[in-house]
This record gives sequence, C-alpha cells and structure tokens, in this order.
Amino acid sequence: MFSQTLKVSMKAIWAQKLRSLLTMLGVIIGVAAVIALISLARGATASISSKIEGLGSNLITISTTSQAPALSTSATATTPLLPPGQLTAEEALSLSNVPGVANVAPIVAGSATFAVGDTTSSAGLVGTNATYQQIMNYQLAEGRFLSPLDISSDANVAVLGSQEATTLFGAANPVNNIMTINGIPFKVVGVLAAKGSSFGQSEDDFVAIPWTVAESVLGQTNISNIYLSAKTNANMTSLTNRLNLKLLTWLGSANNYSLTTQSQILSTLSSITTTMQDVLGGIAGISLIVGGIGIMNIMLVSVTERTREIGIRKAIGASHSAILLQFLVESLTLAGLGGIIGIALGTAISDILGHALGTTTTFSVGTALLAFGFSLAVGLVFGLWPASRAAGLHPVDALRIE
Amino acid sequence: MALIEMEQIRKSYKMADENLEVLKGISLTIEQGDYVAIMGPSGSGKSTLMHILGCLDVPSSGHYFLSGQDIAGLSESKLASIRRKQIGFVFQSFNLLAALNALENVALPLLYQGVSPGEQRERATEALNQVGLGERLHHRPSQLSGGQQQRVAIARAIVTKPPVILADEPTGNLDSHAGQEVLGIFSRLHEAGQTVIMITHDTQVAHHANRIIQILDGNIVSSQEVTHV
Ligand SMILES: Nc1ncnc2c1ncn2[C@@H]1O[C@H](COP(=O)(O)OP(=O)(O)OP(=O)(O)O)[C@@H](O)[C@H]1O
Ligand SMILES: [Mg+2]
Repeated sequence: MFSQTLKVSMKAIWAQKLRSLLTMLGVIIGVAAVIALISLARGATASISSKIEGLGSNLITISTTSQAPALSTSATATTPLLPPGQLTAEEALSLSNVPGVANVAPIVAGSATFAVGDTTSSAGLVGTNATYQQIMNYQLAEGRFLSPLDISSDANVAVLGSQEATTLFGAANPVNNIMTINGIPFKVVGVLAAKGSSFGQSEDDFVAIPWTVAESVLGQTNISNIYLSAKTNANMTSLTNRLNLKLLTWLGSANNYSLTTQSQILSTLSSITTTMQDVLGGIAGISLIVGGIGIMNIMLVSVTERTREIGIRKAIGASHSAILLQFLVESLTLAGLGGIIGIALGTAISDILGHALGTTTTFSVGTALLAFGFSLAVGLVFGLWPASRAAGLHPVDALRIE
Repeated sequence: MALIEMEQIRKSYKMADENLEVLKGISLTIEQGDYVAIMGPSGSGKSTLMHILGCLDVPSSGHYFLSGQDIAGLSESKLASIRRKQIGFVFQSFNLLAALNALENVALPLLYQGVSPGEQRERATEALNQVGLGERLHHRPSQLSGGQQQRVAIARAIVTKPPVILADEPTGNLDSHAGQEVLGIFSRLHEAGQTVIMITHDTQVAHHANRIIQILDGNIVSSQEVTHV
C-alpha cells in the first residue's frame, strides 16, 4: 500500500511538473545553498589546515612587532628603524640552548633587487640558516640548500624559490650560475620545489641567502621573525613559557613580539570553522523552514482543489489514515525530491565555484544526508496540517463540491 | 434478517435559524438479491437517503441495520470499513479519477482493501470484462464516452463483490442508448443475485427494478412491486 501510494504521489507530482518544481524551489535553494557553502568552507579549511599541518605541528613562530614590515620597500629595508629592544640573529640563535628546542632559524628579511644578465626582478630576500628548509618543510628541486659552512664563512651563495627561479632563469637550470643581489654577485646553489600559496601569498617568490651575508646586503642587523622547531609537540606550554621568559627579558614587554604555535593556529582555525558552519547551518535551517511553508501552502491549495477526489476516495472505502498517508507521502516526496535536487545543484555549484576560485571543495556525505533528512522532516511537519485537513473532510460534503 | 432494515430514520441539517428536516422517519426493508428503484421529485431527500444507506453519512435519529449491524453511532473509521467491504457506489456524474486509467480506477477499492497489486490487476480486469470494457483497460476517463465511463464506475462498484450496489441516477447523464447498456448490466447483476438500489427520475428506468419506492418531502409515500410482462 505504501509503495503504491508513493507511485500515485509521484504521478501526481509529475502531472504538474512546473507547479511541483516551484513548490520544491524553497527546499531546493535552501539545500543547495547549504551544500555549496559548507563544502566550500570545508574545502578552504582543509587546504589551509593541511598547509599549516605541513609546516609541522611543533613549529613555533616568533615575530617582533615594533619594527617595519619584513618585506617592505627597499628604502625602509636599507635604512631600517631600530627601536630599542630589537632582536639580533645571535640572540635568536641562543634560543637553541633553551631545553626542548630542536632548531632555530632566524630571519633577516628585506626587499632586494635581483639580476641575471638583463633580467631584473624585485622580491623578498630571506637571510636565514641551514635549518630553515627543514623547519619550513621545503623540498629541493635542484642543487642543495644553504649549509652551516655557508653561514659561518659568509659565503655569497643563494637558494631560489621556484617562482623566482623561473622569473630570473626561465626554463634553464640556475644552479652554479651567477646572479646579483643589490649589485653583489652570488652563486646559485639550489632551487626549492614549488609550495603554492597560502592566505593569498606566494611561498615561492623569494631568494634565501646566509643571514650573515643578508645583514650586510640589507644593511640591518635586526631580525623580523624566528622560526623554531620543538623536539616534540608534547609539553609545548612549558616550552613556550621558557621562551616567553627569555623574550620578555630581551624585549621588555609582551607587546613587542608575538609567539604562536601551530596548534594555537589550528585550534583558532577550527573554532572559526565551527562557528562558520553553525551560522551556515542556521541560515540553511531558516531557508528550509521557508521552503516548508511553501510546500504547506501548495498542499493546502491542492487539498482544496482535490476535495472531490478525496470524496470519491472516501466513498469507495479510503479510511482517514489512507487519505492522511496519501497527502503526507505527497508532501514528503516533494520535500525529498527537492532535497535531492538541492544536493545535486549544491554540489554542482560548489564544483563550479571551487574551479573559479581555485580552491578545493569537499563534498561531505554526512552534510548531504543531514540536509536530506532535514528536508524530509520539513515535508513531514508542513505536510501534516494539509494532510489532516484532507483526511478530516466529510465524504458527503466533499462529494457535493463540483 | 433482511439485508437492509431502516426504522424511523430522520436526518436534519442545522441551518442558520432553523432545523431543516430532510428525512422525516423513513422505514424500509430490502431483502438480499432485491432490485429497488427509489423515485421522487427533486429535493425530496433521495440522495440524502442514499448517503445514509451507503454509510457516507449517519442519520440524526432512528436505526439502520446493514447485514444485521446497527450503523447508528459508528465511528467514521468503522463507516469507512463498511463502505470498503459492503457498498459499491455508482454516481450520476461517474466520479472517476481523471489522472488514473480505467484499470487503475477500478483497482482503487482493492488497494484500500489491502489486496496485492497482482491480484488488484487481475480482479479489476475481470470486472472491466464483465461490463464489456476489456479492450479499454488503459484509457483515461477523458478518452472514454459517457456510457463507457459509467460502465467503468460500475466495474469499480462491483470489483469488491459488495452485498449492495447503490446507484444515484446512474443514467441521468447518459443518452437512452448508453442508459440501456447500463440498465442491462444492472439487470444481469441482479439476475446473478446482486442487490441493487437505484435512484431515478425516469419511470421507464425505474421499471427495470423489482420494486419502486416513492419518496415525497422526506417521507415514503408508496412501495410497489413491479409486474414484468
Ligand atoms: N449539507 C446540507 N445542508 C443543508 N441542507 C442540505 C444539505 N444536504 C442536502 N440538503 C437539503 O436536503 C434536501 C434534499 O436533498 P437531496 O440531495 O437528498 O435531494 P434529492 O432528492 O436527491 O434531489 P435531486 O433529485 O435533485 O438529486 C434539499 O432540500 C437540500 O437542500
Ligand atoms: Mg440527488
């Protein structure tokens, strides 16, 4: 009886295609919106958090905040502001004596002009040490990274980010070639593999040289960032406490620097994501309820239009519950179909948007099932009143209607 | 006990200021296998009486026994169950469902009885064969003539093999030829032992029955056997 009722209601829906589609529109839009938004949000979150996790969960970043931005114009970079309490690379490196610290990479950063023959380009110059590659999780495409000997001997050697390598050397292999940085010749010893971009900023558009050399090239001794890796990601709190103690004695106030761990960033990100998904869920809920009211409206009209049909069905023996079931199945079918169309539409939209924005999207079966279940619930709740009105009609009154 | 027994059936409708009494104490007995015509002027209460006979409505007072069971005071769901098992309706305006074809229309009462789809199709086909529409199973009502539609309605009424067929002016919308066909089917059903109660305005139509009950203003004024020549 149920499967036949379902067949009958599919027939009724199919008989009035346009009207059924318009009835379902509210549910379709609501479900499509939530599917598209959530899979975009999840995709974005997943790609950001995989980037952050790719850096290693035991990465600690220290930034001094009372100085000019690291990658600013060459004018400010070559005449640096040096407020009291700046950190030097030597101080930064001494942090490796703090118990629990594995590696320390000080960053002396600025903007510089690079040239190979007639090709020139201006980009970020990163003065650092040999541990930088490992801490920041870069792979090598060609040659080698900076070595401890390069640092201690103030060697004029450079490692190129993949984008900068292409800009300066095109398709040719840059290794063992000579380039100039602010007019000073350097030998290229390696090229890093491409890493892509995060937060809209390329991670491949820079040149790394020994920090000892960068100090003289940039004419500054202050460092903008320190990247540290912890020996283990257990006991991060006591490690950051020890680091804070050191930094406070050097810099005086916690306002002069910031210290972040990967796990802090990840937990902030996940709380943002959770809030965002809650908000999206709320919006979707409201639009689905609006969609449900649309279904109820049409079902009430349908009950009025089909009063005579209901009378006939009752005359030939349909019980109260049979009529109730018929109209409930119809509104459930409308809402369920709307949900399915909405899921398909939402997936298509998120794919298209994902391609257009160049981000990954994550289709979640759980979200789809939840949206489908919610549409069915909407169909049930908002179908109940029209259905019980239909079932409660008096057969004789219903038959008298022309 | 007779198939149908009515004792002092009254039916009144509450209007704005007064109580409109449409049936004013109807008493009648109809035996199993009888073929009865109910006649009377428009507004005399024939359809109201038939609705009560068919358990579509309940009397305001009085007793109605169908197959020995008192209908008065039964719940709507009990009434639906009686309609499902004991009554077959034929209406003046056919009352077929436009979205369904002949076979599906006829199978509908079986669906409500919970009969399996296969058996529904089998029995509906058989009923349509009985009314001579075995060739029109998949036609929609709109693709059938008035006479054919009424025969589909008769097939729908007999498909559950109910003890009573109730027909409210079954020939009222038909020309005389189609009307004769319908009456021929009723006569054959009656000969096979089927109880038929038919409302009509037409004396000639009424004379196909065994007995004619005349109603005037909510009262039975006469009940006469028909002598067939
Ligand atoms: N729901 C109702 N409310 C009030 N009055 C009603 C209602 N139903 C029927 N009536 C009245 O009952 C009277 C009898 O109606 P009924 O339909 O039984 O007549 P009928 O004999 O079948 O007439 P016809 O031959 O025209 O079909 C009419 O006067 C009608 O107005
Ligand atoms: Mg009438």
